[in-house]
Amino acid sequence: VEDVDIHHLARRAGFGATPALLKELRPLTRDKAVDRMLDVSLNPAATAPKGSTATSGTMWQQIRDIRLWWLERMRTAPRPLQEKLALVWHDHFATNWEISRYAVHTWELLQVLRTKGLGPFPALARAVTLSPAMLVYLDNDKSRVGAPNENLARESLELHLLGVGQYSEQDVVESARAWTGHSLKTVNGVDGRAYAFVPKNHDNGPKTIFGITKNWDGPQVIDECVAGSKRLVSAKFVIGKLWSAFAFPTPPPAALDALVDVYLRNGYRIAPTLRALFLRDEFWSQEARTGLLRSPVEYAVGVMIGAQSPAAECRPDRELEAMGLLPFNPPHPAGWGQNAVFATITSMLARSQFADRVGFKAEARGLLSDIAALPIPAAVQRVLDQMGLPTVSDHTRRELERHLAECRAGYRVSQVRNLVTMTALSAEAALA
Amino acid sequence: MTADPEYARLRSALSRPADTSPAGLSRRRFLQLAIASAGAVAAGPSLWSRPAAAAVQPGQGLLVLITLGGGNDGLDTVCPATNSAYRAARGTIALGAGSVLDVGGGLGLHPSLKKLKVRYDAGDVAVVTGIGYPEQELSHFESMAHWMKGSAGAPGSSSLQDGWVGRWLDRLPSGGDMAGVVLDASVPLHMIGRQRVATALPPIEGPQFGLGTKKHQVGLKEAVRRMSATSTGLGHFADLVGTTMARAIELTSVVAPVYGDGLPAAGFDRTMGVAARLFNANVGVRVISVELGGFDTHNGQPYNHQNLMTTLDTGIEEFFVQLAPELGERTAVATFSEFGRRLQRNASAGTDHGSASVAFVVGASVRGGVHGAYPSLTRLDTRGNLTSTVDFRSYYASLVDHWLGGISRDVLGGSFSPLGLFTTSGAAPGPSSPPKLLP
Repeated sequence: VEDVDIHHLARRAGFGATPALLKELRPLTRDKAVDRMLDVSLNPAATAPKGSTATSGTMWQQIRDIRLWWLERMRTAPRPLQEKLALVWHDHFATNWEISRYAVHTWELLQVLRTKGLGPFPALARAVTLSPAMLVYLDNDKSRVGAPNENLARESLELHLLGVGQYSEQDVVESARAWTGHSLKTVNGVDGRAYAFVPKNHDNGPKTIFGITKNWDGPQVIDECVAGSKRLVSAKFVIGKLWSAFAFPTPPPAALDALVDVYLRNGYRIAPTLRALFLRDEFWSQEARTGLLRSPVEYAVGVMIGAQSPAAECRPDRELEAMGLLPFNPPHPAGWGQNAVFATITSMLARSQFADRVGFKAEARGLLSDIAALPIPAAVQRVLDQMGLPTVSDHTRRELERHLAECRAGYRVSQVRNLVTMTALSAEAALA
Repeated sequence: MTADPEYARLRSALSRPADTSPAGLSRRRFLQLAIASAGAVAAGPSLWSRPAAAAVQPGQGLLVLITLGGGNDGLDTVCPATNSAYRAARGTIALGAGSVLDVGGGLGLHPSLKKLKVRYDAGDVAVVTGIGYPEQELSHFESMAHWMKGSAGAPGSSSLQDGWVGRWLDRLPSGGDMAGVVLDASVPLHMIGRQRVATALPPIEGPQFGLGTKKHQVGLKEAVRRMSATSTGLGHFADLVGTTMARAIELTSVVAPVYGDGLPAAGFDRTMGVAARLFNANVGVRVISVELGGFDTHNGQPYNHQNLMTTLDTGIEEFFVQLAPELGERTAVATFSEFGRRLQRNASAGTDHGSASVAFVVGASVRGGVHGAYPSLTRLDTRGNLTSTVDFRSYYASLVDHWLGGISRDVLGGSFSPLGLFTTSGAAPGPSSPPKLLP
């Protein structure tokens, strides 16, 4: 695989290519390279940051630590697709820690997204929906027979399983009854610590959902959507979402049909579906290569990979909210969205602040200190290689060279800082 | 009303003199400051000349639009607290009949809307009750999309490409780049037009990059601006980032002073203070969109909704505290939400998605009082929800025809009767006389 293709694959199936990955994938065929990216068994086990999973303590600090753990994991995992896909699922199955009981619930749901993300979608959807983080965020923990709460039932059908307009108001009302009793229980004196089904709070009456009348239970609604009579609608909804996250916004009908077929023939498993997606010609097209913007998290991690700077030092979490995507703080159960949503003045101001700090820290650490001895074109190429952008447009290259000349003429001390910051603020660095 | 000397004293006490904070600078001084900090930039188009060209003219109404995200419970915002159907359906989570702030007609404001009540009593608050649309959807997405699109016709009947304020922005004369502002990370649909998109500025923290005056800082800022201002040829998204980054850098020194000393430390009231200061700066801003989220009170409504009402109350107050007094007659604050909530409470001490709700318009030129009939609490729709009495597009027609200036029929794509939310008498500069529109 050529370097330019490795960079494309690494940015989509992760956050950007490291020198080690380039070396590993160069001798391989496209098929084998994709298989390597999918082999998340190489990733080390996840250990929660100290104190973050206690059920006491200061919750925002615990969440901050989990957030930094995840961002660092994105930066360093040998197979970052696991984290990338978890980020896609976090947008799809959005929950907000501010509407939760304990930080450990956020940690636990994150581990569900990470460990089940590549597996069968029905199992992922069940595990997410029955997680304390989701049950509390969508108010199901107190829903009981006679007084059902509709929030989980509605958002599950609309946002997680089928998409808007693919169900009736009656389906929502009756699903809410089916979800009654799926709640939380006390564990070791910690109130609401874990999921529990409480039979006395469950509505055991007949309910009619999708025209089928029986004594529905909540998880059966998930199964009916993803693996029952609605499975084709659900498959198109879910695979369409993956396409827009990994390739470009609107899937070509032929590609969507082919991937839906792979998904249905492989027991609704995401890994073979993604493999097929990465091997489609459309994925390698020019439309795909310029067809997505990095989300703020992808952007921040990509810049940190380029600058070889840890999350604890760069602290992207300080600007991620203003950039538009702070993990565990979605604005809405529908998540954040993508692409142009993040191309705002507010986001760019925050991005420039972050990039400036990364440039400053990188220079202070001695990164790229060798460029001072190089002629200008070679020095710029060295910076671009370091930042994972070896083939930028002529315009961007010209402007970098021009600014490096200015630096050398006027303020030699800041040439690394300025070049790293400027590269991180290029349009090329913004593309996924 | 504003003629009331007692209220005039109150207003004066609540308002900040124009020159005591960076954002209270006169327009002329503000522009000088912007020019001074941008002065080191040698080349390139100077954006600060554009706001100058687009200065707001006397007689043009200014508007802050607050999105109450999640579906605000109209019943507990403007509460029929003594109504037996309300008390029966809400049970233990009903507001106390003696605690609501009486506005007549058996209605009372939520007890936490204390400062808003003072303004109501002064005749500066229009309360619109029963606002919504027929057969309202109960999906946040669908209903909010319909509200933000603000177009004639049934929900979902047209594309989601533009919103009502955006279409109003489209019709402004050229040079109105700053006419629409969103204080958020992203731009909501109602602020997106076919030709123009509102400018998103930070809701809390002002810009930092590019403010340094050292040679290498100024050089970097200009290098990034130059790099971003020209297309890389890498497609639509790359160009979008480039032009946005270039404009962000050009705006840095213009907007930075707005976030200076004298604002609340954080939160919604800080954002509302920023909104007022953007108007004070008079750089051509006509409509500012802000959002207060969290109204999806499926759970624990008494506590959660009370906090939200307090936040809304202090936010609106902070806006008027920061607003330059000379803009008082020309400025209004208006709220909207995607739907109200169901009359019958749920088991989580909360309420599920409903339909008709309420809206507030606040300002010295507002025709105070309750507008629109309160929906019946006994004749509910098949879902147990209230039936709207005021179409939300009539609300928008009022804001366009009687305040912002323009022709609501063009903006909304259909004729809706305005509600008469503004006084047309009073001293000049009064509320809107329509600005000249492009053909």
